[in-house]
Amino acid sequence: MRLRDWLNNRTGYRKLLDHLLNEPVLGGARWAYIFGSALAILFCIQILTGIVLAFYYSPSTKEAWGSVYYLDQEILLGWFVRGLHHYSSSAIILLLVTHLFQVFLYGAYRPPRELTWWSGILMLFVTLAFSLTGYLLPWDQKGFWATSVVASIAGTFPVIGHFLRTTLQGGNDFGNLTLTRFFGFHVFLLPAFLTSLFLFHLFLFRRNGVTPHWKRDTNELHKKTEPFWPKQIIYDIIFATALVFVLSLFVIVQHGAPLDAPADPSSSYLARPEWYFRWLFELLKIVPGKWEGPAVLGFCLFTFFFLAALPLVEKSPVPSFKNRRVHLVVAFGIAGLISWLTLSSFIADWNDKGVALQEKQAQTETAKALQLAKGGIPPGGALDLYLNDSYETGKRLFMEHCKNCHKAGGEEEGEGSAPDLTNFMTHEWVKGLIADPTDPKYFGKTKITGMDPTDVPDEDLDALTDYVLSLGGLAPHSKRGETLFEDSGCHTCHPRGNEEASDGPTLDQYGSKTWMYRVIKNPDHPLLYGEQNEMPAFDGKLLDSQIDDLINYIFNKKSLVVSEQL
Amino acid sequence: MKRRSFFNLILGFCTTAVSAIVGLPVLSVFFDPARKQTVRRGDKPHEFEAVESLPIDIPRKREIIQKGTDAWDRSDPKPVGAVWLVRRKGNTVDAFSVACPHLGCATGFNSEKNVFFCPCHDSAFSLEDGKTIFGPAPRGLDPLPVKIEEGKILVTFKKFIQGITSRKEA
Repeated sequence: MRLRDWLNNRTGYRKLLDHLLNEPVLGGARWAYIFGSALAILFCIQILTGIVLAFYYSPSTKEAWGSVYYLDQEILLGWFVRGLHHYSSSAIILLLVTHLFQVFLYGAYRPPRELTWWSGILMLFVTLAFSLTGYLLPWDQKGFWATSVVASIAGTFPVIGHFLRTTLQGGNDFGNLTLTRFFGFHVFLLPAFLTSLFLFHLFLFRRNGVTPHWKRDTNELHKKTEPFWPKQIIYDIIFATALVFVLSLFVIVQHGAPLDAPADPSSSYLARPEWYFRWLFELLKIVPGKWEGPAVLGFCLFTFFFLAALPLVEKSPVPSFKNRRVHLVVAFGIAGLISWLTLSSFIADWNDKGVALQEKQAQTETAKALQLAKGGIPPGGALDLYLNDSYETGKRLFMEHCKNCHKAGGEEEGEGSAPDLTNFMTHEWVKGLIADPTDPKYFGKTKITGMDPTDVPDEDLDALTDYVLSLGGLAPHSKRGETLFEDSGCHTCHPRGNEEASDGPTLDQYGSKTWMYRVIKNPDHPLLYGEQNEMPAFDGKLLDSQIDDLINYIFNKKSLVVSEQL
Repeated sequence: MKRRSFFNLILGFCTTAVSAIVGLPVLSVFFDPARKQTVRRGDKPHEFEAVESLPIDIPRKREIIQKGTDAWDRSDPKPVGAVWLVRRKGNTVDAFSVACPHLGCATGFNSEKNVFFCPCHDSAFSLEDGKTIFGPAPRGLDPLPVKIEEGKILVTFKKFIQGITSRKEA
């Protein structure tokens, strides 16, 4: 107690607390008043989570993606904090609109609360600016493409378009300055702006109090008036707590916020804005070309001026629905239009198979990028992840040199005349080859002949396969297979060690890297396919490292991480 | 239960719940790097010139250029520190980290007094074995493992925690 007295004598905190807690609520506590305080709490959560996110985030096109990746994957609960920050923004938009409607329906914009109303509307726009700038910061595909579209929209505004766009993005194109600028907006300018507006809003609210429903009688209101604590505070805090529970559950279910593959301006990513900008996106689809800018600007300005002018225009004695028919129609018209546009945008995507396909591709890209990032972000930035990836390089080489004749299980490879390398050197593949080398899948379409189909029972075929794979270290040794190999006379054509050249290709280290090197470099070697070979020799045409990449691709080592030895 | 204390209970529960849900992860994110190896260098020995090319008992400063990882980044080889190489009679070599064990300033060599010295707080270290002979440094210069293979000097570079008497890797 003495400590509290000491503190009170120096700060007067009791008076402040008393003022805050015993503020009279006209007409008593109501569930209708809970939205504002919930917004305040979510805003505090954004500040808190935002500050620790800033401890990791690096605003440059090379670094941004990697830093977000690191926070998500390497820092304990980093994904949760970022997820909370991400999904809170959606919750804030939802709540803001609800708050706006509650205030609008109760007529709380009417004198003397015009300034409260106006500052609130400004806060709505500041929040949208927050969302827009924050979305770009991870510099992933989603953020990059969605924000490029918004910048382009700004560019189509009449007269100010070009200036607005170049100012927002910091120059002629998206780049480092766009990120530093958006970071500056998101982390310094907008928070300062919103905090000031919020304090002003709160101060005015405290001064003018709540706006009870217009039907309630003045005497009854005064009779039921009670202090802010405990009832209203309890209502507020129960709602806010429930909200935080739901939000964190949502974050857990979603495994945090999405992080797409690093922004790639050369890709064909399907640009889609965050859900609360979807209506804008849909509006652009409907409005013909040159009217896009004016239409978007016009619609936004109309909404803004309607909201702003409301306290000046609507002057009925009582804000009953009957007295406000026109205003209600306009307000619900705007809300309806926005909802309809949003909904039809999502429905259009759901019904579009192309969209689903592109989304699947994006997911594959994302998974690949996250896998590659485990080896660290290369000095050239996150986009170089792909360039340094052995598998990706191998794929490019395969497309360039091999795909006209071979397949390797990829999508863009044609039907070729050479063996199909899909599932190459798996038990199934080798077994099929031994069973019938003349199958079109194997050597059927080539000039290589000499081996007839192997007509033995299935289990013998399995044993033979195991034995052949064991020669290259791809399977454990099979004694039975070896006996079968010799009994069937395979060894009369296929050498297995340092034996002389024979009729058939050597199986020495068959399927191993050494063997692959030999085949790729000199397939026409007498120990391999000799004179029957049609495949070009790549000795001297490809570097050993390129052959390694190619082998990685053929063996489908997708999960190969570039783990350079330090 | 009284109405008041019931309200207090709700208030207490709600504030605790919200603080925990938001606060604990935030604290975790704040403190997590403290227990991590965020900056990593390789432990491959660094190769320098032949032993014969160094003068006897005159230290030479050499840069350590290494690949490494720094949080999310994987870097190309870049300078990560420097070492003193001192060739002794009988062709052995001593290697010391250049970082002063006091507070980490880069030490220099005073060729008049024949001692290593730190320009920050005037610590001085013996040329013979790196021991502190003057000043606030709590321990001598940190020796680094040296190997000589095919006449070439190989040094394994390490960084140590400064300001303490014992030698602990950072």
